Amino acid sequence: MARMKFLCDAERCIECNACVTACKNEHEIPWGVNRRRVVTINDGEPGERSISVACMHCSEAPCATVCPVDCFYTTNDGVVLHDKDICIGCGYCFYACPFGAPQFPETGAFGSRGKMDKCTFCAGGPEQANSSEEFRKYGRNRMAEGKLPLCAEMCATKALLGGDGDKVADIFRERVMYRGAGALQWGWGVAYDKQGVKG
Amino acid sequence: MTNSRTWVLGLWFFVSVVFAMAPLQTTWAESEQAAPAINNPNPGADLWRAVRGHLDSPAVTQVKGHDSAVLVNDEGERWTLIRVNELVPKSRDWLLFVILLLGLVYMIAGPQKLQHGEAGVEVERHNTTARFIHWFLAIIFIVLGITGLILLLGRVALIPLIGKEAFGVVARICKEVHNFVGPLFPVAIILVFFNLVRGNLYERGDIKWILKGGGFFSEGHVSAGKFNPGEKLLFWLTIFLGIGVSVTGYILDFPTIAAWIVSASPDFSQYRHVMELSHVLHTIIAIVFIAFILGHIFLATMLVPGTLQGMTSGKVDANWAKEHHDRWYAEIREGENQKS
Ligand code: HEM
Ligand code: SF4
Ligand code: SF4
Repeated sequence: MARMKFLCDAERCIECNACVTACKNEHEIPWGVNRRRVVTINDGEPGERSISVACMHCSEAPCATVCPVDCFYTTNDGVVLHDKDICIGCGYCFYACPFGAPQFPETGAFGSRGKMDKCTFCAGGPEQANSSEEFRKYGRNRMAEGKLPLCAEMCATKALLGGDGDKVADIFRERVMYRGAGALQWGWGVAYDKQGVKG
Repeated sequence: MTNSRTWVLGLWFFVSVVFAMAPLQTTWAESEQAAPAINNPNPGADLWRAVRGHLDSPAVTQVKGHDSAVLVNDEGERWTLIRVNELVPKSRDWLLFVILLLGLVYMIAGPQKLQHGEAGVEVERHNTTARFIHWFLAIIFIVLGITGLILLLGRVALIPLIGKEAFGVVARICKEVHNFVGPLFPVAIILVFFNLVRGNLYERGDIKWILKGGGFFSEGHVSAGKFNPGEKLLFWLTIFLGIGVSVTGYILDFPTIAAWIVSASPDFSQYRHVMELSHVLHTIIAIVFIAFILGHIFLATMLVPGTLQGMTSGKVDANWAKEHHDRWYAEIREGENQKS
């Protein structure tokens, strides 16, 4: 099976936030939760760059390592998913995650943290694929339908790539050769070259 | 003879816990050096440092939320490793060690019987207010300690036994209980402080008790007031460790406090860094605290019979008072004589 990865090409991202909107719409995500966000560095200055970021589906994911109830699992495609029936909303995954991916709808009493929600690579959760139960908790399961994540599919400049990590890297390499600049595979070192995490 | 053990055990715990925690510091320092660098093949890109969200970061985003403009949280993995590789196994090992040690002390020293048996006459030791405050603190402490330990150790200790689904339910309850009972803790600490501080100040004669090791190495009893220096140590530890868990606990409970600290202090660039640091301190202080309280419970219930009833019925046997707290006993006798 392919190992799924996201890549955001900072030379192409124009901060249109369409990926953010598409994600919210596709999965009917509650208010206050953004599975994906676009961050702009040096906004309005020369050298401005934007990056769209969500869960990167890390190898040896720190969120899974730290979770006190051990509710994460990695699919055969390398997608990091979690079980909301087990999650207790402690927030530890948010402290651990390099990319700030885990989100918390304020659902508990007095606005305490609800169960964690994050990007699923459009691959749902542990329930029956595309059951209403799964949709309610995790959003659409496009992977089960043979489709890739919607954010990347509909990115107008094709800055955001999502899919088989080798193919994504090939596409990116070709671009870099052609334009001769912007070779940074942003976030890949942090997400996929882990040595540190034990246990 | 017996109260001395409070002191010696107390010191023993303190020293062992300090040593136990020492390796933690080195790990923190090591992992700082080893913090993963961004794998950055573009040599000219100073810009990318901004993604780590330091204060001079010019990053912006449309998405509201704590640290949402930060692309990479560079301390998350360090904190993860500290929690998983240090806090969890060390807490487990040290608490087990303390329990074994107490068992050993019990086997060697057994229950400390009164030298002259019970007098059959009782004297009042703790009034209703004092007992109410003590048990208010004790119940809160036990609830917080048990729920906290389940959150900390459940993944290694309970999931293999009851499975993830059942543990998810247990942990959920523990988290909610801990989060809601926690904020009461400082209230109990303040009450205990004002209720007991007078008996826990330094008195003449205390230094002698300490120099004699509380009579641990000699026959007979060493003179003590209402509380002996071992108990006084426990009192002050309760106050200071209590302040420690409360401050860090409030930060964990109310992330707005963390956001405020970030905006007020140049030392912290991210809300998550404050939470991570508070979590590590909270856990260390809590474990040290639990170890001491285990010792306290052990002394009061098992090692020195006759002590617990002072906190339940409020009365102790006159011989217990004479042997363990002679100066206090003399004082109350004097008070009685004056009255009659
Ligand atoms: C007797 C005092 C206390 C003890 C023994 C204690 C113990 C613990 C322990 C062992 C943890 C688990 C850490 C982990 O899982 O890594 C924890 C977490 C926590 N404690 Fe405490 N604690 C105490 C007091 C407090 C107080 C006074 C507060 C709040 C005012 C508080 C708030 C918290 C919070 C918010 C967490 C994070 C738990 C979560 O969100 O799931 N604690 N505590
Ligand atoms: S990006 Fe964050 S949430 Fe996603 S796998 Fe990595 S650590 Fe976990
Ligand atoms: S919030 Fe949920 S998923 Fe995240 S660490 Fe806590 S229990 Fe695990």
